[in-house]
Amino acid sequence: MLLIPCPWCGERDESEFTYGGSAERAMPALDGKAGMRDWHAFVHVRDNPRGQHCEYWHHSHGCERWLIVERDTLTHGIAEVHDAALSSDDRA
Amino acid sequence: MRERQDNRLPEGGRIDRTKPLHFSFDGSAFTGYAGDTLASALLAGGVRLTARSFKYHRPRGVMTAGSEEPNMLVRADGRPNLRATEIPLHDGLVATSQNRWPNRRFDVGAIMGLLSPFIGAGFYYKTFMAPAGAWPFYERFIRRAAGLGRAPDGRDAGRFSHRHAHSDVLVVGAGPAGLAAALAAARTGARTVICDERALPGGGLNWLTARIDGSLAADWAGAAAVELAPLTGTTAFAVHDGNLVLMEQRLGPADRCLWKLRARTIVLASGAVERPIVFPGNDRPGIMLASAVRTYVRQYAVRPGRRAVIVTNNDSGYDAIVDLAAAGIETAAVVELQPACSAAPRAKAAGIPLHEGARIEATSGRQSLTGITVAAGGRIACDLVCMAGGWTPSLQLYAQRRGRLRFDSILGAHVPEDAHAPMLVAGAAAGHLTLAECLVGGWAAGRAAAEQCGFAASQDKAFDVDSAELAGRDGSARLPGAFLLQARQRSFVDFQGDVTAKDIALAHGEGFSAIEHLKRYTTAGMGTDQGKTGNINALALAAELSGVPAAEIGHTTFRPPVSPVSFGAIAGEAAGPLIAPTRRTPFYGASSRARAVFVNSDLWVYPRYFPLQGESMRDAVRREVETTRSAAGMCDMSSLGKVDVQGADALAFIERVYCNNLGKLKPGKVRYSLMLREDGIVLDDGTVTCLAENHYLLTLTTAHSGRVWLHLEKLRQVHWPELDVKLASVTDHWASLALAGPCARKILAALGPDFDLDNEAFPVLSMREGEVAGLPARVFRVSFSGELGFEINVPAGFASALWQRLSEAGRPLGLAPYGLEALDVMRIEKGHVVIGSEIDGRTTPGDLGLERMVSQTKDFVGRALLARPALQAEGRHQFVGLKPRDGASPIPVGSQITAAPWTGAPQEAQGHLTASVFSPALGQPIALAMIADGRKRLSETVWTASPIAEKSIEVEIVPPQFYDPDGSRMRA
Amino acid sequence: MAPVFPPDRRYSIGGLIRHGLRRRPDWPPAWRKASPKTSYDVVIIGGGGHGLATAYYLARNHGIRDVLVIERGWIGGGNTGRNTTIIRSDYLLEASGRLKEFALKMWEGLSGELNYNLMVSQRGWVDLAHSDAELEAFTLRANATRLRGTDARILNREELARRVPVLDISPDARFPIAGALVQERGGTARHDAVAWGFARGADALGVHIAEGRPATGIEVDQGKVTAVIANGERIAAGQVVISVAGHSSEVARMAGIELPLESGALQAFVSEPVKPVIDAVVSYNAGFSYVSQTDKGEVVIGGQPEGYNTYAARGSFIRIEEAARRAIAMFPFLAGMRLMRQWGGIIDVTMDGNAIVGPSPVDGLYLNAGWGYTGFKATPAVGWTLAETLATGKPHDLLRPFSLERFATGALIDDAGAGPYPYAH
Repeated sequence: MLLIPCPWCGERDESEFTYGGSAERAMPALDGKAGMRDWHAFVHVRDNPRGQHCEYWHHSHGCERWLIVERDTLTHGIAEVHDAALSSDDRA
Repeated sequence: MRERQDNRLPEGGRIDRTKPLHFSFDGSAFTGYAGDTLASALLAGGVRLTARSFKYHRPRGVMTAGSEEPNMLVRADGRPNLRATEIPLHDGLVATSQNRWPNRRFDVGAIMGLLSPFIGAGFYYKTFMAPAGAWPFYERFIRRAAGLGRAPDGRDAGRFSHRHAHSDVLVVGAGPAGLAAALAAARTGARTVICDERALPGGGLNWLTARIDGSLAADWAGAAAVELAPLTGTTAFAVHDGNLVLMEQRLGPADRCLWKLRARTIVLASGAVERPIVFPGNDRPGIMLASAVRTYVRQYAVRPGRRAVIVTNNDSGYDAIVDLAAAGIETAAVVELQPACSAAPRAKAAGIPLHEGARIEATSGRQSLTGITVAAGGRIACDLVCMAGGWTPSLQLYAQRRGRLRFDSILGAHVPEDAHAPMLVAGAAAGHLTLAECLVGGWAAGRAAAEQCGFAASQDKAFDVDSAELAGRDGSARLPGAFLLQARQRSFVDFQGDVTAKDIALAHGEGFSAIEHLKRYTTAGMGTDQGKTGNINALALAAELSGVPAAEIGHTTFRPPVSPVSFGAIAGEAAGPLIAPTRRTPFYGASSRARAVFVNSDLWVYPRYFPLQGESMRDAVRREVETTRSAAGMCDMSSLGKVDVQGADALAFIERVYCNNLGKLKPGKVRYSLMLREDGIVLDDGTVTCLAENHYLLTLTTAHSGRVWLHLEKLRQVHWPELDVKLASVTDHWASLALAGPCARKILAALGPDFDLDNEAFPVLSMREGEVAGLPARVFRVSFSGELGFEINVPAGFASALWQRLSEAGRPLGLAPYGLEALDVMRIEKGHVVIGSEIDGRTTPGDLGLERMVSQTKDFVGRALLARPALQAEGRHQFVGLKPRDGASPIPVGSQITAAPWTGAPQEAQGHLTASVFSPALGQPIALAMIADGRKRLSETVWTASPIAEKSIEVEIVPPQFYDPDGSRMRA
Repeated sequence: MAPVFPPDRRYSIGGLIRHGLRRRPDWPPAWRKASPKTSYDVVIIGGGGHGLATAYYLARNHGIRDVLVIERGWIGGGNTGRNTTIIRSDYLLEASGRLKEFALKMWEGLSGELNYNLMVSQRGWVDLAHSDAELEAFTLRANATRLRGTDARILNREELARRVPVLDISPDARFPIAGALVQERGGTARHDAVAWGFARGADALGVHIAEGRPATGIEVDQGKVTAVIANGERIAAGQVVISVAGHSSEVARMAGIELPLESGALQAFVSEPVKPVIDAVVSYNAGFSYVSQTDKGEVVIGGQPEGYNTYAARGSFIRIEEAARRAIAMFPFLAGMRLMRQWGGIIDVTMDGNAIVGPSPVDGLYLNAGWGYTGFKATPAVGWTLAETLATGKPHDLLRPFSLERFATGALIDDAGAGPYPYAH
């Protein structure tokens, strides 16, 4: 069972978290400029890599922060975990 | 006389002869001792034929002394398929053999043996196809013939628990290597847990003749156990990510505890299992593993036979000579598969005839072994065969963690390979078979494990080991496949599955040579013994047939569990009523006292209706609706999600989240609002209340509140961290009671609120904060029922007080509580859409008739994809109402909508019903539905079709707002 | 035309007896292990049930025999060998229901068609409802199913108690059972046999099956597929089918295609075998778990998918616990039985939970992906309709709703109403 190192709470068992899907694409801004194509790409299209994957986990039974986790989808090894809100500058 | 123990040795063994235990097997009474297993006690009692095999119903006896036992499965204390070698004897144990009728000595099923040429591996794929559709007929017999034991009769009487633990070091296996490892680790101060699947720790130390540091091996084990307090009868059956180890602990005959242990490091000292030898006729009662015979002799003081033959392909077979002699068993011969063996002098020294390079042609004895025939040696009379076919390290846990294995062709089995191993492996599990190696290697592994956890390395330990055992390594010699295949008698590879060498050859010939195909086609390794004794032999034979070295043929995937685990243990205490949490609202007590009948709604337990004495549900619901519409009713609304939104960007946030415009919402105002998914489909509906500038309160539907909460937080934290806004989930902070009906204002007034209740001062869709009935309160003028309504929210702790005071104030005016059923009836009459019925994860605002709520002036979540062509197309199912044409026929729930009545022939559906009730307000049945282009088809006639209810009703499409369509009652 | 097996290859009771009387049974190999040529009319990537069935029907229905099925491991080793063998067709939405009913009708005659006993056992599918509201929703689904001409019934508690006597319907349960939707024609089929049966049939019709050959590249030239690269060999192909379940994204990527799906894990487990005790497939719907009993006597139990992206084909013990608890809630005697074997598979779930079957943006390249945990029951139908799609160049009528484009157009087929979150389906 996954052990996710929450930056706020430490290493916690997967049962404390809720998965939130791929973090590989940024949501289009709600400024009226993004159209159907951009949103379709964001909502539907996926890399779904067999290997390093960037994904969201919510620490539901802990600090309730959304985290960005870099995890290998084959070995389940976790490389990095960031608080999503605090690391927003680094992502496209 | 059964109660005598004819085959019990007069002394010795790790049994307590002061504690005789009485048990029964197949109705006969026996006696054993504390420390016995069911298998050892039955052997002591002279019982040889203890089982019938799965397919051919061949007479079988016990073959091993451990969890690898393939044959001796019994039903004991109501549970099927237990291995008699693993059941600690207890007083009053009642056990029966399985898979035989009428009894194990005379089993009608043995006729299957005669059919054996025709029912080899995979035979069922080749037949039972004709006549067409006849399979169910054949299947009945196949199913009855299959299965081992019989399912338990009722609820299990065991108590099951779960335990969570952490340790620095976990040592799996308390044999010599494991005990040494645990001692090394524990003495550094590392928190060390050691477990062993057997009831008595020590493993081989309990039956080997040796001295360690001057003490008898068994005594040394005992002392170590005192120091370490191992978990006995505890099988570590799985290792998961993050070194989460799952163990099943047997606490007495019936109770089980499932351990979930996070270990920082693991030392695997799970030993090795001896292999049987594949030769013709190798499955009769009395043919056992050599190590098992030695175990029964030394640990249990049992004599499994009188005259033995050792069949061996490695040195360790010769170690049995001394133990057999000590038990007074005559060793008639040593049959050695290798052309020459270095241990041969041992046999000669003991005066035992030795057959080297031997080929076993057959065995004899119907219900019990009587002899074995060796080519160029003739028939040797015997009632016991000790098979020493080499050793297979038990590496299941290692392989579960994807540790790499290497096939050691001398050992004839897989050993750990990795430099970057997921766990340390020591002792026989690592392919080290001598006692000295196990102790030294175990100690080193325990030291290393403790070091990995940061505990200072303890000293190296030298063990003074005095032992005569040879512990042979070379276990690769086998009888050639061609030889086995031309023999008359079958050579068993997987004993439990009755898989023979011939089956493997058959599978191979048909192209099932990939090891996984071989396993599935022949079922080798798929029995309850997990192939522990059979897999390597199957693999080796397959390799020989394929003409490749065994090292190249691969192996099947190792998956949990290492040994079968009780479902009761897996479920633990969270079974039955605790299978899921039960959520109650703050009004649960009050509702109960008001005699509510409750219903499950997801995890919630909710009042469904409040029957008066003797009232049926239908009557109660009707009364509740009529009371609410004519006087007043009160309904618990507490489970609705509530989210508090604050911050300078609070409005910006909710504008992005909801599809309707909220910019003009002033403090004290409420708006019904719609939230869309990112793809434009309706996610949730609820209310948005402006509490103050930059301060809002959102309500979410009960069913979706958890999901929507996550969605809102994700938007806030992940996608819009630049917004200055904070959310708080306040669902459980507030108890919420809806007060609805023409008398609602009067009743509310009687509670002495400190704000004006006048329709001008407190119009519909607004909120007032203050005091009601002496309690701090927020009152929302919203109405789900369609009547004049006030939703009174008080802090949750005041729920009972509110209920009580409201009831008192309302009683003179006829106020009555109503539940979910009545609420649903009223919302149907009003044509309100709800989650689950109309909002079903596929509908758009337009489908629901709410397209006017969709803002044309702002961007919001879901806007772009809502514009997708299929979501705006003609022919989409739209929300409408239905009335039966005859004004009286009830419309069956779950009906589909069709153009013509249903006659039994397939028809296209034009839509479906989302709700159907008898409307007290209209005095007739009504329904809600989603119908293709419904809004363009008002007053059209269609049919509802319910093949289930066998009813088709002619209906008229009408607007869904049946009752008070202009909302005047609500606005009063 | 279905393959006609010559007497020494035809499976029958007579054949069993004949071979059994010989010293050594010498049934010929069920399928040849082909070495691929350098070019084929059709190359199917993926030797699972779907891929093999497609190959079979290409040859059988359309006479297209120059077909190669290329499989990276051993045939049927993916989800075909890991599912819990359920077949049924009681789906709410038209598109799902029609395709699966087409499959169910095919299942009924498939053993005879393939001359391979697939052990198609229509012992009944029982879907439990835990409240009157749920039963109402099930009634809707049952009516939709019946309207299509397919069988479905709704049972109340008393009828359910008679139908499955060992089921616990006590009103004191945490989630008491209110009734069930039953499809008597639903049941199980032996999963391994399906792969082997189609392989044998396809092989007999001349199809090549090559195992142990992972596809490593797909050649696309000016928008048209031209070849598949496997094991370092280039295999020219007129048409290519990608039918690799959990690895769909990886293989589609080779042709420059991104798919709206994600791969996750689904676990299942079996008990030690016991004599017959559960004779239907029963599904529990408060939290999720479903139970059946194989012809070997093992009780098969499945539960919820892991809910996060993974290619590891394994999951956490939590799911096993949750499924076991619900299985025991249905059949309390299970507490005294033991879990004997567990396994996992990689399921690819799309953004609406339904499959993508049909043409891809690359000319000549066809997709069969996103079946999630519902692919096994559709196997023969997928083979039949996809073969027709390839042969005629136009999507089969039943496959039209399952287009890749539907996510862009909004014509979704979302049976569960769960939305574009694979982990929620």
